[in-house]
Amino acid sequence: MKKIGISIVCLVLLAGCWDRKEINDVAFIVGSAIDMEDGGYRSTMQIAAVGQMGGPQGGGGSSGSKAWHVESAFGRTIHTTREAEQKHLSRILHFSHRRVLIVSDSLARQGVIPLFDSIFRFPQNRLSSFPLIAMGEAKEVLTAEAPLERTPAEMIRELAQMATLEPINMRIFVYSLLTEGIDPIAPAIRKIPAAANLKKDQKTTVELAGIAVFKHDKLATILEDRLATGLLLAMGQARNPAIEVMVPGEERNRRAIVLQISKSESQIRPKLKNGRIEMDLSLTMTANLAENTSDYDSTDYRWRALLERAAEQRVTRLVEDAVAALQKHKSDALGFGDAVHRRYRSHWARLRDRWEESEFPQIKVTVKSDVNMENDGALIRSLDRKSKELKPSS
Amino acid sequence: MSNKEAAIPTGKLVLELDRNVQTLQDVFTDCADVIFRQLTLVNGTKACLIYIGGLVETKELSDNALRPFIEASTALGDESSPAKLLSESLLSVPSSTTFTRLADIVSELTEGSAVLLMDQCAEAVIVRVKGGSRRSVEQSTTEVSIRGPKEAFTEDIQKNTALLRFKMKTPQLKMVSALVGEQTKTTVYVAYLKDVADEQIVQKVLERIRAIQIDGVLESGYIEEFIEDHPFSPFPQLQYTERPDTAAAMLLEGRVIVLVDGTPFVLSGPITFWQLMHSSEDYYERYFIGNLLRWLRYSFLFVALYLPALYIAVTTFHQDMLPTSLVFSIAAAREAIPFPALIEALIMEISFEALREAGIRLPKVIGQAVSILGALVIGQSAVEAGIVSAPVVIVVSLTGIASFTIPRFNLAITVRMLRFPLMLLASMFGVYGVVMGTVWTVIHLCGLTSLGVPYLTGVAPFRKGDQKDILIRAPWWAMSRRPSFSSRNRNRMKNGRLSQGGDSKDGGKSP
Repeated sequence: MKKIGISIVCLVLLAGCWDRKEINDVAFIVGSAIDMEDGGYRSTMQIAAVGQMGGPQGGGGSSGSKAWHVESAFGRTIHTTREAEQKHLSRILHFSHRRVLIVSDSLARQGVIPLFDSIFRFPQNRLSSFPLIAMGEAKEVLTAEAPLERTPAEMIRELAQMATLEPINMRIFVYSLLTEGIDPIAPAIRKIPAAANLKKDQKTTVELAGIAVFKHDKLATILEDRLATGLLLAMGQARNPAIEVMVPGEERNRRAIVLQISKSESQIRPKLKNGRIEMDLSLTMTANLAENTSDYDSTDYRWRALLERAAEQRVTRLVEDAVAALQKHKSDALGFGDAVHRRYRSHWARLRDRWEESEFPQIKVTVKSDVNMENDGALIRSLDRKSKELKPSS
Repeated sequence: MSNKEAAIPTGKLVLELDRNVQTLQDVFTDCADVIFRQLTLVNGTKACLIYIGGLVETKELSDNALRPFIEASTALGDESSPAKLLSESLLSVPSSTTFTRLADIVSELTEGSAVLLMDQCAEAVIVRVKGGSRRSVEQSTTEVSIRGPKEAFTEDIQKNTALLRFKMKTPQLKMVSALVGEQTKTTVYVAYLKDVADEQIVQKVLERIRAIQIDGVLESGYIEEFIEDHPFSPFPQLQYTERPDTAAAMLLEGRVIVLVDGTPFVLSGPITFWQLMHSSEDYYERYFIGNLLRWLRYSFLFVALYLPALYIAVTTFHQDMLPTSLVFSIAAAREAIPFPALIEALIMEISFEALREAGIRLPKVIGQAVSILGALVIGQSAVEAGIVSAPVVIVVSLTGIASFTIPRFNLAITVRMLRFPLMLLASMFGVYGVVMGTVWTVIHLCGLTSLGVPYLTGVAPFRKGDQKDILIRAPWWAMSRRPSFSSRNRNRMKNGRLSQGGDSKDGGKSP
């Protein structure tokens, strides 16, 4: 009995675990945005207003009041913004449920390492949260209405997950930041009106605008639309992209055929030719016919072969353009440097220091793609159309 | 000790009937249920029949003892020892003897024998026509099973031993009797299977039972508290059952059974912790479902023990442990609650325990209404009134259900009790506290013994052979050995080999 008594006393006195806080004294941050302001940062935090999330009465949440609340604070460093934030909050800030961390593009151009330092020191932060780049002011994105989700941060998280095949979370971002010869990428978002031509009752939402590519920790550029698709295809990270192909032989009619890429793989092979590095980028992908606006019979194997070649050309173009953009902005997001490092270790030692600045923008990249059409959809023939015979010449 | 000497007379019978009767009447002063029947025999001899009303089989007494006695009285006249003649050849009752010591006569009377005294005879004829009405063998109410024998032990120890003998037709089933209780003189039998049970354990049980000094034993629980190894442990160290089949299974595994007169619950030991998680139906249904149910029970044991503590720990310390949507739901539900999570959980837990206690007391008819009222109405309105949050109600009711999956009620009580210190620890130290509580409990369990056998036998100390009946229930044909603590004769099957169904020569394939 004495031993038990002593051990209980020891447990109470030595544990030092008096950090009890009730769940309703905690302000859960679901997302935060960092903007630049004169001489420091403005950190905007989206806090889940759990009281509005449907309590005992189990309402739907359509009660009008939002289930989230946005606060911002200014500070010279990220940590001091947090301190300042706490001063006007009745609940203790809690970061472990933060899903997204949004950095404005202008701030990101100056480098993200100073922003992330305090995040990695503070154990509540999770490496599974997503870094994103906002086009324009980051705090604006957090105030989009995003009517489908409980909070805008939730929607942004879903977008971040959909941007690439393997979602780029903090861990992956920092991993490529720390690896020699790879530059990180992050999804870029912006706030847009939910329905562009609607006058009344206009709501705002968030759009996945492109992929932000970095040069080390500094934002190099944001690749949009086809450049973003090309980059993701080159990385093998595109999530079922649709490739629009003009019908071979009928380019003038602007009749398009859309192929949905269901599986894609990319391989980067560096080559050392006469002391110069060259890159072979080969892509293998499987596609389904998603839309056929032409009159051709998609079951015709000869025509399908033509279509595959046309798609290959298209993919090659996309990727070549994206690579050219990367080279222009000196951002090695595809990890060419890493591939060289792995293949030609000794050569890399000489290249390493001038790789980003002079070597990478110069290297010759050969893109080869192989598209394989597997499935032409459930329809045997296009609806209500007479199929054309293939002209022997084309 | 002094009042005992005053109550039980010393000395022997004398020749005069009147004096003998007077002595006995003095002993049984103010005992209205003791009947003194004065008789005059055909040859004029006076006699007296004494018995306690309700304890004897009156029809058998009058047909087989009283009538032959009266009719044969002519033959007794010049007999030197009429009592002996009566008991040995004239009375047609199954058991009869003669006594001269008053103490013996009194104790026979209280046990339900009739006593015949005759004038000019210093011996009493004891006619053992024990009877009286007692509950007959009925269905088990506390250990219900779908498949398996339905009968249960009764209050009558003789019926209980018979129920055991029906199942175990072997002279190896030994029953050693002992008398416990100065006033109640309760018969206690220690039953075991010779050559299977460990003799040392049998001796230990007998010694401990014989050492008991108490005025009365009304239930086997009295005996349990006297003979268990660790009286200060919250864990049960003996198992009780009211099912003869369970008792027989205990005997077959080499355990010792203690039957106590006046209660349908027999004790058995030594036991292990694992055994308390097994139900008799595990062995009666096919082993697939036996295994699945066993795993279900083990997992719900953890729920019953830890769920409220984990709820408190997670919501007050480790909000980061939960998925985001869940943490928001819990936070939303707790938004309007004025109490900390511990108080909230305690309110619900304690009212649930009160509800359970009230349910036992209440008459069956109202009982159901009250439990519905309590569970549904109070739960619902407490949530609506914002006194407790809905997650707590879920946690508490899940815990309540989980504690009913534990097949042995005495272990379920222990788990119910241990939940509260764990909740306190969780509210002070979070998961760290829960882990500390678990460590203490496990240390305690490791040191615990049941009649000298370690409580966690099979796991700690590890016994490979016992694994077939701890977390899993191996098919019967694969359980060729008895548990390791029945030290002798561990082979359950002939030659200890596996014998599976079908024709053993062609490997179980039917022609």
